[in-house]
Amino acid sequence: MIPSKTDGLLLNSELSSDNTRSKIPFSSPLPSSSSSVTMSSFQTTSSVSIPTTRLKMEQSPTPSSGSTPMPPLLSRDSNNPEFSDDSDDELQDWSLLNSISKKGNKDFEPLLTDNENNQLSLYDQNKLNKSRNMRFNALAVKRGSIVNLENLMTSTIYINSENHNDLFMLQPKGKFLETMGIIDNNNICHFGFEEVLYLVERGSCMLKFWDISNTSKNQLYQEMPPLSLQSAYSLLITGEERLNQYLVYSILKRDGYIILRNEEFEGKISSPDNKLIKSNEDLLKNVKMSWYTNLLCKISEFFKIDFPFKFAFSYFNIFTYLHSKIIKQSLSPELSNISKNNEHIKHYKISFNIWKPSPSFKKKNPPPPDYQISVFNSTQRLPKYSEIKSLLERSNSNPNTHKPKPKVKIRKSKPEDSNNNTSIKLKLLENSWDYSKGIDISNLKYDPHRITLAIVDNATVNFITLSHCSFVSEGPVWRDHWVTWRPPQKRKRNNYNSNNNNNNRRMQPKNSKNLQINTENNNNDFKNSTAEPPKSAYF
Amino acid sequence: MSKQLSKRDYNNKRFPRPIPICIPLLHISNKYFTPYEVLESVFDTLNHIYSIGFFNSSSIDVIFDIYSDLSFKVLNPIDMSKIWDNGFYGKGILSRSEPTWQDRMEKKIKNLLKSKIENDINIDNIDNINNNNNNNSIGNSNFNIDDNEFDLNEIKINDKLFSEEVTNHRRVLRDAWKKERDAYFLLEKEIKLRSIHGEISNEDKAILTAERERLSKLKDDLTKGPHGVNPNTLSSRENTPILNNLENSNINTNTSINNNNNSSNNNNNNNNNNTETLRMEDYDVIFNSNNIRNMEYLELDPCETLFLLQLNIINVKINNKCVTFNELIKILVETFGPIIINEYVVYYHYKTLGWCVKNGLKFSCDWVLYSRGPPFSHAEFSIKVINENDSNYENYRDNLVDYSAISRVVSGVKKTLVLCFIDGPIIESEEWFKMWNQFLKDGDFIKLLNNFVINEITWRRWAPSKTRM
Repeated sequence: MIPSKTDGLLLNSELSSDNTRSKIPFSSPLPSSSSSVTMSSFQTTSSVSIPTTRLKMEQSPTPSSGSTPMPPLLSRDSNNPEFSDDSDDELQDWSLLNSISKKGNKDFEPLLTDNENNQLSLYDQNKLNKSRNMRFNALAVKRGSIVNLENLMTSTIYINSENHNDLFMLQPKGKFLETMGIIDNNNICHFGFEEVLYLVERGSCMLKFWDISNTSKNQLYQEMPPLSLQSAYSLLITGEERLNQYLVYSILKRDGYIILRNEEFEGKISSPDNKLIKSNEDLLKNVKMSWYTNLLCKISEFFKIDFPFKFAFSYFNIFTYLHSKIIKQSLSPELSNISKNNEHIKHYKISFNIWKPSPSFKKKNPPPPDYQISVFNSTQRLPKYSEIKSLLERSNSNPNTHKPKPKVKIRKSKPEDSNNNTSIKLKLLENSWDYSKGIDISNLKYDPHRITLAIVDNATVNFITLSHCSFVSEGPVWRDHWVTWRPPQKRKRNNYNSNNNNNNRRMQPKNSKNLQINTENNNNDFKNSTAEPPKSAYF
Repeated sequence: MSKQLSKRDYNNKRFPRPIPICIPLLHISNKYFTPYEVLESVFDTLNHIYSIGFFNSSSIDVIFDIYSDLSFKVLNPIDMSKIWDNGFYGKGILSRSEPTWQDRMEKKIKNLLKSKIENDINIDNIDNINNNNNNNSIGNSNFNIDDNEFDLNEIKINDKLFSEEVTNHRRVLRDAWKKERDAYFLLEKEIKLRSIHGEISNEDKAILTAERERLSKLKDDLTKGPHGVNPNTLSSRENTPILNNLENSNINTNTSINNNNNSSNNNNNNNNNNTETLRMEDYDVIFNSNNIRNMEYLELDPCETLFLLQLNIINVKINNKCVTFNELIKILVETFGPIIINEYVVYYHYKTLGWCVKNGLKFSCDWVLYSRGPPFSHAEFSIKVINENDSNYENYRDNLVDYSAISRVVSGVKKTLVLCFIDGPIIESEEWFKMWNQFLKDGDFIKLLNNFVINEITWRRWAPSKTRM
């Protein structure tokens, strides 16, 4: 009968804070027989019903009393069917918490009024309770290991007790294997330390010792409880470098990316497989002087006079002339002084390859990675150009990842037979350098040669992308038609000049001829000047 | 400028050249629709060549002030405008960039002198109004609203503005919007406080959403519209539930009125701060009834000066004596150190690629690159120069955190950070002196420039959580 007593005490203690305590008759004598229990309970049903409801109210938190409210116990114990343990690759759903944090802290800024002294208003209390309960609900879900208890073998990773870098799984099974581990011929899956630590920390797997030389110990190891997360950390994280690598790995993995080790992970630097610097002709084709400017340049050099700027006829020409003087700067980038420094180049390694999440990913035959990561410490200095260059030359990431979408909509061609032709033409137009279009700034911003540095500052990781860029290869940005070309005036249809407009429209066929003549004239002039005829005023 | 001219045309007419060299440009295009346009282009070309005839070809005098602050000064107002309009060189020391101080001052003094005379006449009336204000707080607030409207009308009517004024007006608009927003917050608080059991009734919710929509629309009008604001949007405030609610609300009427008073007082203070008055210093500037003394000069960056001098556009004078380009280089290397050559390498590199290169100190980097110039568009790139040939380079303490900080500032103003690595003979090494002595012997600066190599790397932040898809 002790439980009922404690119940009564509990109620009493709860009620003691209540002013209405005296009104409620709750001092029934402790019954000695079971029949009397039913009797007393029957007797008190009417009276007790009030305190129980009060009890419920007390349980739901009231901030004015200052006590930390607790969520109803039921929700803690009950196994929520949403978070089932069946799937080994399921994470706890924290979306409940996300919905709180999205609102921001300012939502809970109290609306204090002047006459109340720091007393929370009803609105504040309500808001506060709601969010607090939401947090409790999120925490009430069962947490911890989500390993498959029925078949422990499929979620146990063994660590070689002699060589801690040897991590393997004997019966590899699970969704996470799609993007992690390497399965050898004996159907043993080998893992990297960062993968194991990630899986253990997330609770998908557990870690146990395994002795290869002395197999008799293995029985003992099997019976022992799995290694704690703490010991896993101490076994696998042997230095700062590994900690940084694991931080980067876990952050990106949690963000949903597919992340695998690069072949240089162990520190073996591969040889550069692409050339960063274009051939001289490619590089300089856009800053080349036109024949006319060249002529002027030659004449002025011959007579030893200043360049006759006034006869250049376009500022573009002047710029190409001025830049031609320092063309040697970009002609021979592998100058003597750089090669001299080559001896003490520190080679940074590319640690990880990253892919955006995709269902068709195959780890045996991966596409070119979207990003490649080199891990740095925030206290390190900026690597020298030669070091960045060597990184960029070894990188091999997907050139399409950062390509901005073309702004111009490609028109749908009507007949199918001409489809091929037009598309080829369109492609030519897009790729070829076009004087009238201006330089392509996205070429400068998003070069396919790029490397991502993960800068680790204690536990925070910043990602930055370094990419190659060459202003020279895009040529001068100035266009003379910025000044001279006046866009055709917009025609207003519903105004008093409509007569004029009609005339204009009638004259359109003539104009097109005019236009042709004009462009032809232009082109004749231009053909001599540049290899690719530009579209606008340009000499 | 007539009103028919669009901003683009106006800028094109005013800033036609990237360098202050006048050359005939043929106004030809490949898109003609009417013969009129062909004629127009012929006319434009002729007009252009004609106008060149009047382009004053006498070169510009720049004074190298070696006694006070080692700066290059252009003092003549005509030269100043010429050098700014043709390639945006230099900075007016009393302006944001374009030297407009004199025009602004003239405008201000003219306006204020006129109004001051009017004020002297109407001083009695103003006293009366002030008395009214003190007596009647509600009248006060109304008066303020009217005042506001008047200001905003002014903004709209005035077409030609200096960039400094545009910023000022934007500030006024933003303040006006913030006042509206504060009123909304007040209303929201009222509603929340008198909500029953902490739940806002549907009626109130509807009021709040309507207010919020109105506010966001107002913000669009203020920020995205033509420079100016429709004053009606602000004056329509009386019809909105904010004021009605405040008046109707039975709860806390006292506090709301207090708040009103407070805000109106604030208005008053703000207005007092905003209205320009003539200070004592301003009278010093006036030297006769119609003219003011020009206090502003254009300051050129050493690299800009070198570039212009290299093109023979300016004369640089020290102690009233002209110096040649090579002499100036020597003087600059002596005064600023050999690093000035590195700076000029970068400047010349981007300038000859057609970019408008301006100092990037305010964006925590070395240079910013405009594709055409400040009036046309925002700068695309900002350049951080890393001198790898600096003899002291190994001892610098800059780490990756510093570069992250720079990138933070630069990306905040939507520019792309470009790290510009300069390599060349290590400064003050044997090799460098060999190069320098060679220059002193030949006087061939281009040869010296060609000893350097520029390598560019762009630096962009990657937020993994945003690019997942």
